[in-house]
Amino acid sequence: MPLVKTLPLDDVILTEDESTAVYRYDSGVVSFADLQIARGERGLKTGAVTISSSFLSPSPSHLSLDIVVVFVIIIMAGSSTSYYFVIIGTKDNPLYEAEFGSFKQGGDGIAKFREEQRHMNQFIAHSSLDCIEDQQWASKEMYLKTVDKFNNTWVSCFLTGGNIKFLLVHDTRSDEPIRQFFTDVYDLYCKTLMNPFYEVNMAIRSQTFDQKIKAAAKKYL
Amino acid sequence: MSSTSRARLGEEVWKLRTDKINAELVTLTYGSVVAQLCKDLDGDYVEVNKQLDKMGYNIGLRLIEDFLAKSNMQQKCANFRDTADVISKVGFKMFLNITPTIANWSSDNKQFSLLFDENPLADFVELPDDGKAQSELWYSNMLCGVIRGALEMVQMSVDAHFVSDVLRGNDTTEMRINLIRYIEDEMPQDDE
Amino acid sequence: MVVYSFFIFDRHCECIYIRQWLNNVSSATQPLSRPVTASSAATVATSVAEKPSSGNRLSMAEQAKLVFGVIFSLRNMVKKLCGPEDSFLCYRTGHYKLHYYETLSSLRFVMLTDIRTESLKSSLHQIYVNLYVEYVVKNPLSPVEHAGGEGVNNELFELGIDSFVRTID
Repeated sequence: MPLVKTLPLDDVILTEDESTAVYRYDSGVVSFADLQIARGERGLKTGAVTISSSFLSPSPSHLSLDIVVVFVIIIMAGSSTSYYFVIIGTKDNPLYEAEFGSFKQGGDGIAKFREEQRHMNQFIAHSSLDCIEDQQWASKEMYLKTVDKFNNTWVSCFLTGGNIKFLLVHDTRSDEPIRQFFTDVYDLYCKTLMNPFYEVNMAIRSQTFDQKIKAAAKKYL
Repeated sequence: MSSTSRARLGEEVWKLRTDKINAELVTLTYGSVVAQLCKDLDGDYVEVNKQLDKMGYNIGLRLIEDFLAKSNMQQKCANFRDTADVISKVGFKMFLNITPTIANWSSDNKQFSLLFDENPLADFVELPDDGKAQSELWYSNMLCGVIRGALEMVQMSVDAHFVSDVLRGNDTTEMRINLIRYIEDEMPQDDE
Repeated sequence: MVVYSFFIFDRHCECIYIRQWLNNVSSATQPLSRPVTASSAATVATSVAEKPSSGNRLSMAEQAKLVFGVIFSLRNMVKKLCGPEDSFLCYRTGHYKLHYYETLSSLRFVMLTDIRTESLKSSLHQIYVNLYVEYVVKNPLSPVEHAGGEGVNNELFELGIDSFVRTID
């Protein structure tokens, strides 16, 4: 008889390669190997995560071998969310790009993209430009929210009056922090435009701009 | 005229007798002048500095009349220290609404420095990153020309130049002004 | 109060502007005749400036030179007598009164009026502030050095002087 158990988030530890989860409970440790992990929506912050495993390797003696524990895994996004941010000019040329990881829930802010994922990020961003062009005339807002989804990554966009696009590729949905982040970036971009030596569609190479973007990311993402 | 009364005069002229203009418009206009000069002169920043100084000189020659008319100054300054005081408290206040600090007087009272803690001409500016600009371009060099031109019309020949600039990475923006000589009144030509 | 003429001299001791209002002193009811102006003293051919008091015919240029000579010497003398302040205000003869105003930039304004006028120093200051600075200095097309009066005789300045003097009258 399958037993569905809901475990609090903090009690479950995933290994680096996300193939094994270890659950500590009162009288011992259970590890679930060969996890089929499905990425999906972020669960509640303090809520529970249910884990499923197709294979249970019991270690504590009092756990019956008969029990097939079925858990459904919803992997937390928390500390391993990564963002890829790019500013695209009017000729579809990138002006600035940056990667960050989330600072929330103890994350260290360093993006954890796998290598192939890194290249994919650029393609994802560019492919979403078509979607943006479709949507931009329908909305009066500058912040276009999420314009595109690719596999399990989302693309959010902020469109300035001069047709400059700020794109954020991310793997979890969160509207409000992203909107605040974009507003800060817009402010920084306007200040860059005020520099008489900067022309529109020029790459943004300023160190101060870089630092301030990273600070904004730290604040909101 | 004491120092505080000059400060008050400057404040009053700024508030009541000047037409105001949007500061960002001035910043952007000056910025585009400098940027265009840099482009036209192909990155020869020494020449850009010279041209800015020339433009400032022409402005200064006319600005002094406007200054005298608005500030209603009747008496000449007694010495160079007074001149410095008037430039800082009345002149700059009237036209840019800033009051640079006077410092670093030389022992013969013929040289002093103006320290700018804010420079409305250089808001939001970052010098281009081509290696030369940071060490050769004085962004606000027009101000040097303005002071030179204006003082020449009131019989003082001075030399004004920047010695440090926050845009270049220094701590302060400092302009050094030194008096070369007082110009004597011209005599009419003797052709009788 | 009758204004006879108006001169401006620059820092290089040159006359850059002359304005004369021809006046027949003998008949008081006659209105001010058409003002004759010349800014470049050398090119005047048609106008004949006539000082009401004297019978001599002097060209504008010579008149300007005479006036300048007088004020320059007087100014230096007053300076030596009274110190560096601006003390020379005006002088009066039996037929006219001359009012003088010098700015800190060595721009000299001279006005000749009848003898009953009070000191016009403040009016000359007004002319400087409201007319000269506004219409001549702030005109971007006018040169800085007005050699031979170039740049001073623009239309707005002339009209301004005209209306100002008529209000003093």
